[in-house]
Amino acid sequence: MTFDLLRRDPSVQALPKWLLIAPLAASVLEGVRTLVFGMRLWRSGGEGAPLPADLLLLTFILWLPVALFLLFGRTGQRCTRFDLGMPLSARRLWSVHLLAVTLSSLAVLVATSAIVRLRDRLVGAMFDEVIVPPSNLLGLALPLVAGVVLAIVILQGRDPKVYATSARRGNAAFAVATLVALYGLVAVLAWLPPAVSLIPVAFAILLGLHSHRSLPTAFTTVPLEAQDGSAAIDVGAGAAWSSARPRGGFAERLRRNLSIFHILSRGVAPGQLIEIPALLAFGYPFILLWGVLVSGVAFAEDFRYWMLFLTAYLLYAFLPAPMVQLYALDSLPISRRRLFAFIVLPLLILMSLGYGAGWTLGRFLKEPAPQVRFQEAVSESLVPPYPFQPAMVRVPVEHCRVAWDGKPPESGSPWGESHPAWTIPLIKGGTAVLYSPFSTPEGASPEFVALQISRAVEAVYGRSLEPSEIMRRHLEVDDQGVVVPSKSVGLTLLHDYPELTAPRAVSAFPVFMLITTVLYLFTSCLYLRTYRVTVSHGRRMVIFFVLGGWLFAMHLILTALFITRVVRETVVSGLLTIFVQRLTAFLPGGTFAVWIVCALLSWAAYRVAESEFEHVEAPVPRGKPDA
Amino acid sequence: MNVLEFDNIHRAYRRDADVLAGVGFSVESGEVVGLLGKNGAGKTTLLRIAMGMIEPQQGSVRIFGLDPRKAPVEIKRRVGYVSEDQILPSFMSVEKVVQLHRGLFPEWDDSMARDLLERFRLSPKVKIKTLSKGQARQVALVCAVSHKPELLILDEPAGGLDPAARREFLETSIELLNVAGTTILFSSHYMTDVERMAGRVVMIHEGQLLIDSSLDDLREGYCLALIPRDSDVSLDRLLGIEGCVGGRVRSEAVRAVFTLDPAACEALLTRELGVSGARCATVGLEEIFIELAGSDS
Repeated sequence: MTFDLLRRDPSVQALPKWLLIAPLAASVLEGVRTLVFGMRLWRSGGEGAPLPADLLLLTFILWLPVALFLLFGRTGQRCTRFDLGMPLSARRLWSVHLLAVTLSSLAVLVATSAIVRLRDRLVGAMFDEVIVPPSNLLGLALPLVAGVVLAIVILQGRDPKVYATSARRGNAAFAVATLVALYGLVAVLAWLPPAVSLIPVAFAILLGLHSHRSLPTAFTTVPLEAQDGSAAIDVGAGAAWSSARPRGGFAERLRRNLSIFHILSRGVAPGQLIEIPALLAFGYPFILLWGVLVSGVAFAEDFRYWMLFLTAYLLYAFLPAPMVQLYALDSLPISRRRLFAFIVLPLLILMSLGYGAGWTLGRFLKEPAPQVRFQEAVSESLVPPYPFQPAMVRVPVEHCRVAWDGKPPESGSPWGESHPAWTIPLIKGGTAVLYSPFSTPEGASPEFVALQISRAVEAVYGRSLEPSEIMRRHLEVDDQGVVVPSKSVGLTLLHDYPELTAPRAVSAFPVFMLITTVLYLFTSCLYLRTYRVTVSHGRRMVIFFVLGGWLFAMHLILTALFITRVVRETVVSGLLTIFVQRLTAFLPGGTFAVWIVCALLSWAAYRVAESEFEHVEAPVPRGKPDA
Repeated sequence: MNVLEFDNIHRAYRRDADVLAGVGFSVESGEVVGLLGKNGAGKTTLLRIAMGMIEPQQGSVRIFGLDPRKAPVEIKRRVGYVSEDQILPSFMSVEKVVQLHRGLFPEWDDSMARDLLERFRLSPKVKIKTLSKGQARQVALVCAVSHKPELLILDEPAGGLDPAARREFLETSIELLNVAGTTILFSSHYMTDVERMAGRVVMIHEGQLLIDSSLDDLREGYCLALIPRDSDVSLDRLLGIEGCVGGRVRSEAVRAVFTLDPAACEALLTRELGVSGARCATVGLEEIFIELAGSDS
């Protein structure tokens, strides 16, 4: 019987889903830890012992999935209503549930630890250049188990009389505060001798016994205490609408539209891992933040093009949640076009706002970078350590050119010195290459380097500088006879020539948004076709994941291509930038025209998806339609 | 003038399994029509097609002469809709829900909404999630009728409600709207509700229209014949007789529904089948429904 109860326990039922998601999340976080560790090593020149922060981060990576499981893994439901009708005491049900939650949580913890270990070993074995941070998982085991057990006992002590802890805000806040505090405790225990971890375990046992003793003979389905005066009927209370402005008023229309928007954004998609309004809780803030990230403020400009498919995937992932709410609005005189706008546009607007905010932030935070540089640089390796490359003239990628035949013209000089151009193949093994007409390979004379810098300055800034002046002031030859930037001055063009103002950079935003929007709406279009009463819920879910899978797979393929250097992220970024540059030059109206063209194409994609949405047959929601 | 017209509506949820297979009827202005059929007969599908929520695979539907898929907003502004599985946003208060509806319907009557809320003893400040099922349905009714719709579509509106709440709900609907000449199309499993409310009954069976008759004609013009099993009359023979609309075989007798008065039916059975001892009688709507919905034909 106990085994049957264990098997039917809601937390055990939810476990398979969590055994998939929790290790995945931990694996991604471990990737971030590896990157942070590698960057620190690189900055310190390869020196550096593990810091307390490394341990804190590892503890966090292992704690977070299990904490989320305790919050959202149906651990608050102590038994089913079916069990309530059986001749079983509350103490027995509670004890079995406590055991079930403990075993499930430990399973999540073990799976998470195992995947972190496995991932580190695999990455270490596959990529020689990646330095895997140390992780003493065995040392963390006891503190983590102690923290988990204590958390379970504390959380299961809430609302002891009812069969499921209520979802009121007080309980949620208490649970979050408990888990945050216990993370702190685990982090402290990790630095202390293992035996100290037995203290919280002993405390958990005592607390568990106390909770067990305070249980009633049988659980009830609702607490005796009335909640928030909800049952009170206040007949005749003044209604706000009676004093509202006329229905056509702006404030009234705004309020109405906000209500519709609110209803749609409260949707909980079927099968959603965490049953809270996905858009409000995650979608909107996350997409806003994502917009900031892809704006280039935090990462290199190439990052945004690398993230094209992932961005479309993230937008698409939040589509099913508002669709659940459609049924609640379907009988009202609200046009499908308006509903579609409320579903799709907020995400696109937030992405744009985030991008704009990031771009603006970048303008304030970053020093105006010189467009023409002659300096050493780190390689474009995706993972640390990053080896240095010799000094070369670097210009914005839009000033590079494509040689489709793979034979870029050599850079020459009036005195007959010429050198092959610096190139990157568009595709590894392919003929076509991206090249810089301002290349200064090793072996070039100081005069040649100065000439190339002078040419680059003219191309980028539209001003000509004397090569002799550049050579005299900014260049020198090192012991090996290689031309390097002057150690005392460097190439301080912006400082020396304040009149050099960079022309407006090619605007990446409209093209980025266009590609993202088209990918997102095209995939959404296919998904919306499943909203027919003839399509079962299960089939719709499968199609949703298949379609999301294609976007995610494309992102992974792109990432794999970048990592294996089959295609360089610089090339993708460069080609798109050059394309936009050519388009800007071709269209009358320049950048403004590019914006208009991108907006029109996005609008066309939007209209196609909108027409698909008009044929949607809203399914009757399964379970609760909203949170 | 026809407010609502269904013409040869076909709709299937699975291939070769039509839920509706050529249903067609119309509803005139001011009529109150009860839509009957057993579970899965296609009543909800038909009403959702009328609301433009589902597209028919074949046939057409017109409300106020308009196609609900092409002019959904114009139509919904003139229609009130309540269904058993209707969902009001649970996180909103009654006041907010009413406020939302108020803005969407140009003919919204504030005083009517307020009167109804008072009548139902619903506090505007209470959240939908704290209401009982009956109270939530009452809020839905307030929202559906306070804009004085020209057509009210009720899909099992009283399903799951206790008898008192059901009576209150239906009487309010009738009182408020039928008096004003509103057309009502409603589906229900409660025959007493249909008999109390409807002037006309439409019954769908196995995807097709089985009965479309005024309630008076149904009461007077239909009868149930009980033919003893020992008379060797098969159901197939009975169904072959003109006027027989359905029947089923039971242990003691073959039961068949005829569109005849009892005397004419008895005469017919004697004349056509040579049956003596058949008993024919007019029966209530529920009996007719049970015989036809459970028909072996």
